[in-house]
Amino acid sequence: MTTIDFDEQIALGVDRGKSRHTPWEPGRHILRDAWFPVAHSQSIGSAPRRRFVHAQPYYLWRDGRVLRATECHPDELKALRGRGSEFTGGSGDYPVVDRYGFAWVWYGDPADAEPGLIPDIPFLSPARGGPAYARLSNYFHCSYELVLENILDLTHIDFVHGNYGGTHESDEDHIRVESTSETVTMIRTTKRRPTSAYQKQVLGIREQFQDVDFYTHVFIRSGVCFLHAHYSHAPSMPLMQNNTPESRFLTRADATFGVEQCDDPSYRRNWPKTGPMVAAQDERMLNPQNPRYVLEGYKQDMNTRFDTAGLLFRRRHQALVERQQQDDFSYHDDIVKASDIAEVLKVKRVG
Amino acid sequence: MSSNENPQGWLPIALSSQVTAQAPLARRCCGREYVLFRDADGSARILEDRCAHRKAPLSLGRITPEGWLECPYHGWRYSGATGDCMQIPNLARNETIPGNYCVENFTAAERDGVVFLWQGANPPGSERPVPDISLPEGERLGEGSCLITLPAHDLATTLLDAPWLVLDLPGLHIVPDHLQGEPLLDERGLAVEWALDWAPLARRRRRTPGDYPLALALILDEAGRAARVEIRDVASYRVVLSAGLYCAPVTHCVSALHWRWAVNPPAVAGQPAYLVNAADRLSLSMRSSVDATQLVALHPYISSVWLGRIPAVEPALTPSRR
Repeated sequence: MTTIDFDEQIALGVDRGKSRHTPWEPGRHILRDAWFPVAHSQSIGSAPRRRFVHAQPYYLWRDGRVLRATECHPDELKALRGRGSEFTGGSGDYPVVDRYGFAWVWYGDPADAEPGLIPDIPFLSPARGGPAYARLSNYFHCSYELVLENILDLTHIDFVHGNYGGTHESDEDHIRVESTSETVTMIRTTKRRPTSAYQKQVLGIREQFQDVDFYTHVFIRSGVCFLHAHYSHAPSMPLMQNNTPESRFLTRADATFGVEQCDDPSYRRNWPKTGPMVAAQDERMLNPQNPRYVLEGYKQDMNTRFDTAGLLFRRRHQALVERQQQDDFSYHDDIVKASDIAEVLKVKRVG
Repeated sequence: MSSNENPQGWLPIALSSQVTAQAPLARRCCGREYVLFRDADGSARILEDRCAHRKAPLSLGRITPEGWLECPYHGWRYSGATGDCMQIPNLARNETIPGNYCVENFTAAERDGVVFLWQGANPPGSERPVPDISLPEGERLGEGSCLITLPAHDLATTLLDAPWLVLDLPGLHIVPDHLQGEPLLDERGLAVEWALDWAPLARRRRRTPGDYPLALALILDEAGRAARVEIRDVASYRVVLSAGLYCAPVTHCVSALHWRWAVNPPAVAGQPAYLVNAADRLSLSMRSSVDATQLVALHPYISSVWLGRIPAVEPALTPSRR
């Protein structure tokens, strides 16, 4: 695990390392051999639901009580048997696991589909899904890399979601980043940050300023992310969002809140209702951003220290691309030595 | 006449009234995206519509009290005059912004209520002046903009060959095929004149060319970007409507149109009510689509002169300007 205090180490605007020389081209490369939580488990019944991972189709359905993920509609499965793609070893059936209230499908060589590679999500129960009010489904019209960059630079909250998260006029604003070969974690610490309009008007918070710590934890191959914040005077709860790359042009964002982390029953039920509005605010940026990366020639981005986590994500992503281009799809053991994410996010584990 | 996809020169990109200090304006021209706004001294500014940081559209942002353009995504602020990044929020006071943090800025000019974008390898010079279509004082004034599904080059040729396909003149009827004389080339561009009738009368009568009560004169500049339109009352030879039309490519198949007009209605006191009503309705706008059946059926006489495919008529004597 690498821990970097970027306030000291990263000078303003320096895009260091390989990303300086390697054009950042979201949507250009596909990373395989990963678990993707493509649907809320509760949404899957006997009628198949179709999902995509990097344009590969997944039909999700229940065969009696058995959760299945197949390459084609169940009615066509018999005809496909033995002629399926390499993603299913020809069988037509993908590896699939029901965990944390999501159907996790394997995108890659099915022989390498080790369920132990499914991320540890400390604030969700592995055995059951959350309540319906805590589940969301959104789309962003962009590649998943842009969604992850959006999430890794939470200074965008100040402008895009200022009504919910507060504006930028804080006394201190620092970024710290941790990473492994598979993950990037961003921790933003702010002091005396203005309380947002939502917190004042809906939650009734009277303090004008708060100390706020924001957390983002992303899984580079799959796009899965955890988001959390701790406000000194307002409630909050963590969020897991899948950010599944359906294509270069569409990212699916199914999310579940860790409601057990919050003692305020009103907030628990009402905060998830803001999800569609928050997603629409992000979509307003991500949608026009995408063609400028995907369709147009490379033009280097300018950066500040607040982009450090995003730039590290670019470098880690590029490293994985280069490894996979060399037919190395393995997971390095640095992920085992990583910090306990429950401690990083300061959440209690849910059994 | 420029027929390529990346024309050089001054391109009409917006009406002056559309460019404000209150909200930035997104415009696409020749496939590129621009943002227009007015800075603190009221000057119209044009920048590329993408933040240098993460390429978010600056046109979704806001204009700060300092007259800078603020990105809606992370709040980077830009000078319209230089394109330089002036402020980045969240930074500590001792952190400075590198000098190369900027977006591309473009030369803008304003004339006759229209904002022009300079497109060219070299700075604008006097050899390519901003189109001059000043309007007279008018009893009534109007302006508008729209997009049309025609490439800019084809829009220009259609305007010359069949102005009734792109011009909307309420109360008036451009008489198809009743071209008055030949198109004339001079330093202003190509001038052409069409017979025009009051719409309520046009359905009931058929006159011979030269006998119509009104005439529409159109002068299109060499680049095909700007045209002056004048409608005259033939009997009094008085201009009753003056207009400037402006056109620029947006994409390979869509063009942007802008227009401004001034009307000084003809004296119709004592005339039948339908004529009084038609005179009251005098105005000009442009259509957002063309009738394809008529488009393919027309004879491209005038545009052939404009494009140099057939020579213009050389008068035996120097003609007086119409």
